[in-house]
Amino acid sequence: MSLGSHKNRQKKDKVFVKTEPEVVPVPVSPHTSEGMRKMKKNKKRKLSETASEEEGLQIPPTATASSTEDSPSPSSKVVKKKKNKKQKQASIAELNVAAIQQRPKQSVLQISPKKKAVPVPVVGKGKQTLTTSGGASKKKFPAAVISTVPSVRSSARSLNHLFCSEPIKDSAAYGREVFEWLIHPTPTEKFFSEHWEKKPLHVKRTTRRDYFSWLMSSATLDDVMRENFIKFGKNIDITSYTDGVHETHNPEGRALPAVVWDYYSTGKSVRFLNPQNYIKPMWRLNASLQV
Amino acid sequence: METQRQFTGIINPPVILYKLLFFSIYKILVFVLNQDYFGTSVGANVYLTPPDSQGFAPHYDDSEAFILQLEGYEHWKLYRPRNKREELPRVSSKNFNEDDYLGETIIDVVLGPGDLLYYPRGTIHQATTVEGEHSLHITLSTYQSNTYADLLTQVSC
Repeated sequence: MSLGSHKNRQKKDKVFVKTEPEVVPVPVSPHTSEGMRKMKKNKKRKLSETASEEEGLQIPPTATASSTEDSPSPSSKVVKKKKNKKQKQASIAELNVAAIQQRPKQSVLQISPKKKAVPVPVVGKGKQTLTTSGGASKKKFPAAVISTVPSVRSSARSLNHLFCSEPIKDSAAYGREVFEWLIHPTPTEKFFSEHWEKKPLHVKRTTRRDYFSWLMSSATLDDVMRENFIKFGKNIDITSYTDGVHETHNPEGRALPAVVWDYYSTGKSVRFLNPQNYIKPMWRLNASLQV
Repeated sequence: METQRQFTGIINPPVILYKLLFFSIYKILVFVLNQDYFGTSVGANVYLTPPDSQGFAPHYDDSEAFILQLEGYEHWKLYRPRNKREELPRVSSKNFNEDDYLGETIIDVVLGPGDLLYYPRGTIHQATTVEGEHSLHITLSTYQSNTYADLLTQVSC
């Protein structure tokens, strides 16, 4: 009896709570599908907002994702946002057209004609250089372009599905294709008979230094840390191995780019876990290999 | 009336049993029907290492690894498994250090952008960046805990 009544009370409580969350911003977690959707929404909004300005460093380290992303913006900002959005769309369209025109000539993997040199993280220099590289990458390498470029060609076969949002009909065959691209020019049969679970394989690509560069760069990492609530110890680890001693140097809380690059400039390594949750091309690669 | 009521809630032994049964069947189905290219999930980590340094002690993993070098150069050393027990292991190793015997070196190579390196689980490895060059690489890992023994432990949990 008591059990039943207790349950009823719980139910009532739940119903009461359910009416609230529209007002309270819910912290976004990338692990639930709902979280993903929310993140995408936020990302879209953020992209248009932060296209021209670099505010990332001013966010206090104690601020949470929800508070930074949902903070009310002044009306002037809203106007700016709209303008930016329009400009962005226009530039994306231009890029698309350019990509289509360029397509038949290219045999090497390329995403947009504008993208030439991948920004490199600067060592030993201050945070400012790194913030500028992050900002520059945004103009060069917007996420939206990657998802809308119609065709990118690898060595022999095209990896269309990696970039378009069409449903994949034969996911197993597609997975094979992506894997062939990964280990190219090693034949898959040879790989599985000679190397798989037996011995290591090294594929050298001296003539194709940009083979993987469409996946991400260190500047992408900077963007991800700016736009998401990345936590030390959970999403990112700072480690070092010097004089035979392995150490982890994770501080508490959110991993802001400035803090991470500070560690980096003193010779610490950065390990970012599960980039596929935050970086779309990485997610596509992972999903295509496991679907 | 009251006794009947107690069996209608969440704590209902027949329903629990029935749920457990379906859950274990579901687990098996997920495991069997999840036809990936590798038949299992693929994980990824990104490693950014500053010039002339090393982030991790030599160790081996419990999963097959593909290293995708994106930026910069890194010097990789792979070692042959030291004994039969360490071939295709199901658990990762501890961190070794310089005094430990790591085994015979089988690959000693500097990876550049665009390069790919694959090594089976159980291969002890360590990577150091070269002077003046940082390194950014992705590690794709697969086949982690993908044996039938692991299936059984999953189902019974």
